Amino acid sequence: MKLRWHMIWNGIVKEAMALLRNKRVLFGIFGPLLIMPALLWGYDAFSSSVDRAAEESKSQIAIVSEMPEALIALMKKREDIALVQNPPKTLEDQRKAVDENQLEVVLSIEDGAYMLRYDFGRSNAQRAASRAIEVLDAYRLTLQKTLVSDAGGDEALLNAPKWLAEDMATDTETARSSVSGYIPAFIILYLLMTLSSFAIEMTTTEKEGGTMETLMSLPITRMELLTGKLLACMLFGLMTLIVILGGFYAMLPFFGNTEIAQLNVTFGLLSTILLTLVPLLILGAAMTIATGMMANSYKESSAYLTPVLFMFMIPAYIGTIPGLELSGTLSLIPILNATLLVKDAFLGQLNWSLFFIVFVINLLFALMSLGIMSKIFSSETLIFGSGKELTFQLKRGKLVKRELLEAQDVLIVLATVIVLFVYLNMLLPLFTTVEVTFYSSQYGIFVGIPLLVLWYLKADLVASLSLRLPRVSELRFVAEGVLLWGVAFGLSHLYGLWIAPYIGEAPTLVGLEQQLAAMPLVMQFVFLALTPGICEEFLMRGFALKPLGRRFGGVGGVFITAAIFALIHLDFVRLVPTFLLGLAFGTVTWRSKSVYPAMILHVLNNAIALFMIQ
Amino acid sequence: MASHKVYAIFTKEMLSLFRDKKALMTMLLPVLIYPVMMLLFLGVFNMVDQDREEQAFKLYVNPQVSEGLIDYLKSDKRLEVTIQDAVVANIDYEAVDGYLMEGPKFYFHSSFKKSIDLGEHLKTSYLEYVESTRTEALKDLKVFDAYNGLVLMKQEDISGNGDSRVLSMLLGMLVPYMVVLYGLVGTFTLSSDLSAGEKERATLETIFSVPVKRSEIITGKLLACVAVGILSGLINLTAMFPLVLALASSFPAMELTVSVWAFVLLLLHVLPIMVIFSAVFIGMGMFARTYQESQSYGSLVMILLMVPTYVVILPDVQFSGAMAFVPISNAMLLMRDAIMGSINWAQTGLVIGYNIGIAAIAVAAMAWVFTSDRVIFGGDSA
Repeated sequence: MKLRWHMIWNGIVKEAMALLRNKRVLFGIFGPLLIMPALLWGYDAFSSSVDRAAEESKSQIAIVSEMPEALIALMKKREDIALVQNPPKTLEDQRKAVDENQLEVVLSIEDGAYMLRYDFGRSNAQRAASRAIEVLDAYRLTLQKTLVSDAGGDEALLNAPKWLAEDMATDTETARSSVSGYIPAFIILYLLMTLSSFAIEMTTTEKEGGTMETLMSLPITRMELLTGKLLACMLFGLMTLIVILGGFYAMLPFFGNTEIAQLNVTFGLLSTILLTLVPLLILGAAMTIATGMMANSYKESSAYLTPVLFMFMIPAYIGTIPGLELSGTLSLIPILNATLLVKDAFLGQLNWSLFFIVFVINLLFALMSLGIMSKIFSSETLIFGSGKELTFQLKRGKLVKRELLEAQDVLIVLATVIVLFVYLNMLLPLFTTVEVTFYSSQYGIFVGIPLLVLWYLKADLVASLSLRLPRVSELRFVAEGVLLWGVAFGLSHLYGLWIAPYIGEAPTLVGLEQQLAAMPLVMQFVFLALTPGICEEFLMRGFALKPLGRRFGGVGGVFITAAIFALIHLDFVRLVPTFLLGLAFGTVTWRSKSVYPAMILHVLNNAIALFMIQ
Repeated sequence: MASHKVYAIFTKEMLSLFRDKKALMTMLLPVLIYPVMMLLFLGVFNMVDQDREEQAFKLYVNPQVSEGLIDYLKSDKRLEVTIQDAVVANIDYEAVDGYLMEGPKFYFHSSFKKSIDLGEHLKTSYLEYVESTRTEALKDLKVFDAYNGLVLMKQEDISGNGDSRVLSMLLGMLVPYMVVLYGLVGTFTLSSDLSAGEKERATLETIFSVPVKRSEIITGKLLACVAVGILSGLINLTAMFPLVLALASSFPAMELTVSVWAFVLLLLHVLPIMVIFSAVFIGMGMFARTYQESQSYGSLVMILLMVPTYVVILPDVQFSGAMAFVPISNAMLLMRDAIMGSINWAQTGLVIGYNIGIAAIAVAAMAWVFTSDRVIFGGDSA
């Protein structure tokens, strides 16, 4: 279908005018520019004055044993140390005095050693102890010099040349290095926040105001309308980001931030950052427009956008971890790759091959999100809204029987299950064995909670859990599923071989092997293969897949359950192969309409892994 | 004021909360996100750390550097040492990680993490080298044992358990911060719905038409907002605890002992703070015409209200005369001290009383807004 660009242009102009007239959106976005520099300056000034006061304060040190005169003289010489007169003699009284801030360090001689007692939890006490240690070090040096010269040695032996280091970075390079730790994440997060504000205005607010129907009645195709909204969102998002960053760049030096003034933002640096952001602009705009279209009110869209924000926030924050550098592997992870690439751009260490990979990967994800966005925009139910919001029916008596749960209910249960699973696995091992923890989480959480929810909400167990054998006509899907699983298994194995040199053996795995060695083979099979095969499939492909598939389509349902399946294994390194296996199990379940093949394949998969450990 | 009517309004607001996806999401999503974020962060940290410990460096060394030191550096498997008389200004830090000249003086480039890491590694190596040559010389002089026995030092926590004190210090910083910050976010989320949201849905007029006084309505809404704020803070705090416990269990000597009074005081301090937040946001929300408008304006106020909460993160800030009169900050500092086992009842009473006074002013201002028909039912466009 050919798009009429003049219609799209009209759409962009319409959205731009609407946004420029919208005081609250502009206020919400530019408001921080007014107060943030002042707040940052204020905070900086306050913490500097606190630091100064701390440095200038006198440390209260109590000497409670006979001390060499020379040492006491050195202590008295220090202007930042005050020796407490008539210090408490007993430990109990000393504790009380420390609690009441009457003294900070108690210095004594016990068994030939100098004992410093203080409150490890208080910074003033830590500082007092450091000062006391400096004095003790100086005293030790005088004794060492005397010892060496009495023995006929040269005192120069004790005065080794000091280690000196000089940083060859220019002021600009130092400033860029300093801000590269946080600016990339800030840029990406702020970009998403502005995009989401505009997206909500263009979608949810239009639905709420009833103008969406009016728009649809105009001689403009949905694709043209959508393209106009998308481009307007991206344009405004980018312009806002440039204005905000430019504003901070101009204003912060006036508030004492000299680092920003040294940045020397060149055209090359700006272009690189902008190019990196282009796919993220598309990705962010498409995802936020899609999310906004699913909501019927501003409140609802804010709720839906919260997880989207986290999806951007988590990789962006991970990108701020010191020492993490862009590599071939990391360049495949969207958003994280962009954060690291912008960091490299600031540091002047850009690798163009990696830039290309990052750009392409992010563009692919952006194209996927465009697909999701256009699918949602073509859904009448979503555009014109059903008017229904989530409600919790608290009394079972008022509920009616149903075949399947709603996707929203399933997502809430999955979230609850993940939380309980993670916390149970953190806490229970402190009180009981690994086996008890494992069986509790598998049977209690993965099976028990979905069963309870299905019973309470009066859902049909057989239909909800796909507890039916595949028909003869569906057996070919089972065969396809076996093939898919074979491919996924093979890829997982290859991945394991490839990643092995880069990671040590996980301590949990070492511990697990020890546990398994103590079990009979049958119990090993039950522990490692049978139980997870049944329970995890019960939850993912039984309980979750059908309702999610009904809402998001078969592909969507399989993807979501595979992602959660990978996450719930809590193994960062094996995330990808677990996800691939989840895709295979999900596909065979969806197509055969039975959970049994996935259970069998999962049991088989784990049994083979067990065999390989043996 | 009829307490049963206040209770009815309170119940109504709390029930709407359970139907409100955004409020539930704001309160409960972090509970899900924290473990995931922690696991991801720890996983990446371990990976980066492992790489750092194994990384090899390229080092240029000027021939003027002492032979002993050069030999010592060459014996380090992580260093690829090249003897080179280089011009300092021309060194390419993409090809080599640093340059050591006589002195010793090490030239590095802070834009390259590897160069910084090499500097740290070399400094440690140099100090070890100095120590080893000194040891040999002292042994030759036959004073090595006497030398090492001079001014031995030991450090001990005055309570007897240093690890626990460090943990208490961290909790003292984190707990008040999390409870108050997430309480702020919780009250902000709900308050817009209680005020501007009701205006937008035109249910405010309906509420005012029932036989309930405005003061009873205000009180019910305020209590609901305060309850949500406290719940939000406590839920997020509870979400952190299993992780803290699991981490603490890795250090057998670390015992976490926080007195019951500390928790009681935490709640007593948090209550007036939540009242201040709720009154400010609800009052402000009444000036907005829509939920969205209220959220836009409120977000700036939220940033401003966050500022006094950061004081507890600065370790050198102590509760003092001046600090006692800064609302929110005063309570945060006393909460920190209470968690660390230091409770001053006089100061606690003073601060709670002071913050109750501030809360009373905020509530009075909010009540004034609620009595203004022009504000409530709107006048000219915003």
